[in-house]
Amino acid sequence: MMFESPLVEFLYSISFLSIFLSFFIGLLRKKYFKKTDYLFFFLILIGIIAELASTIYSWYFKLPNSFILNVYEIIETLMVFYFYCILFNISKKKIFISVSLFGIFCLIDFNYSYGNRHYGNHMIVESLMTIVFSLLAFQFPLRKFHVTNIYQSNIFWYNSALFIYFTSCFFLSLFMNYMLENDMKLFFYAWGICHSIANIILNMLIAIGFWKSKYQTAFTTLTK
Amino acid sequence: MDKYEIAVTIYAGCIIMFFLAVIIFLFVITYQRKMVIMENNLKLIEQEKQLEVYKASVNAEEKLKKEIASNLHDEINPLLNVLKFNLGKYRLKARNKAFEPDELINDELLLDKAIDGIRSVCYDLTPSFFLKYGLVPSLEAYINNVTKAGKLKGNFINEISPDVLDAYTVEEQLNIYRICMELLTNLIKHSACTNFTLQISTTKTQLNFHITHDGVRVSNEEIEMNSKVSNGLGLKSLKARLLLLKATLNYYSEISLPNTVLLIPIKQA
Repeated sequence: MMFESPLVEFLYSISFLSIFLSFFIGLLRKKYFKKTDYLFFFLILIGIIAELASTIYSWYFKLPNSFILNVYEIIETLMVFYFYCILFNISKKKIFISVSLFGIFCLIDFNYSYGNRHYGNHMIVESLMTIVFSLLAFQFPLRKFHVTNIYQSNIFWYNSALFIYFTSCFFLSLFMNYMLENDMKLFFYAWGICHSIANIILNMLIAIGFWKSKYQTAFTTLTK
Repeated sequence: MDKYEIAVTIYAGCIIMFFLAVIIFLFVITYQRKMVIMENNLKLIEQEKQLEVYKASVNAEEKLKKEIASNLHDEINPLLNVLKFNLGKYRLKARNKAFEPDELINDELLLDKAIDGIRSVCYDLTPSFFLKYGLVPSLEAYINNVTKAGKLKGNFINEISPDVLDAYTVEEQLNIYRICMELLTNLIKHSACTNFTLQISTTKTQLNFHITHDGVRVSNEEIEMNSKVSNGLGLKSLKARLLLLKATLNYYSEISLPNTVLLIPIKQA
């Protein structure tokens, strides 16, 4: 048993399985997908691959899996950033500059991390960026009432999923390196409880977003 | 900070942030729903208003049809019947060689009455003078006719160039004419004035119709009250025409201002 507590074990298992649920709902609703839906579908797919790879890496080969998770998180950041670029209609030039800057930051951070820490600071950057972007995105349904039924807007569910997940896990990302270096037990419990709950909510909300992709209700005037 | 404190900080931080996120999420949902309901209510009120205006215009049309039918039936039909009867009488007299051509003088008067009646009905449908000469001369002619009738004195001041009105379609000009007619009729009927002036002028954005008179002044509030209480169609059809022109109509009870101000947005030709 990886965790000492059955509750943590249970939450971790549910969290692990929840990603498959959203994947299957995505498969069911694939025919209605548009650009943003595909983006989240691939995010889920990459999440499954990363989850499986890291589990195999740590359990089967008994090797540290932080490299896989670091790479996954960088891809995740880029995809989340691209999602908000579509939502806010950001120009390609600005996207290129931002991605380049983030890439340089990740390379430096990555290089530094492997000497000193387990996790890079890109996770904090990702959390902050997503919280700010998702809060900004919430203004669309509040300012413009194009979304007559907000529950039918898939983009609203995706944005809410990212907002709740990254806000809940912000403290975890802040103390991640401390926990990994000083208190592994705390890390397993905090990760097993807090991250698992946030991850279950993330996957559930993304699954709702996939389900609502049938309606494709405009979230903003900018989204195509 | 010891390990316990850090653990508490992490757990508490996660829980607080989670609830904060959920609160914001719920706030967005409830606030958006509230705004949508408000927006829908406003739309509903707007629709009801439009429906009322539409009903008023339909009723006005029906009333006009009834008036025309009643005019034809009560005024022109009896005249034509008398003429028909007279013609039969003259035929018999002519057969008996007792026909006097002077007897036709009275019938000529009856025919004149019938022609006037038909003309008045036609004028109610579409004023021929308006179609022939346009808005400004029609208003001027109407005010001159009122003055000629002798009961009160009307003045007409025109400060606009003829090309200003070219941008408006005939229907729009007819609407402006009908509004002015309604305003002047109400003024003559209810204000007990002896003098009135209709002044037409223009600014960069608006066509201004100012009516000033020496009778009883009314305010917007009084007019609004009257339109709610009264079952008359005049004010309702006036509102419908104002809506079509996107015009505004204001009544001022202050002596320093014109009593009635009609503002119509200028259209570019």
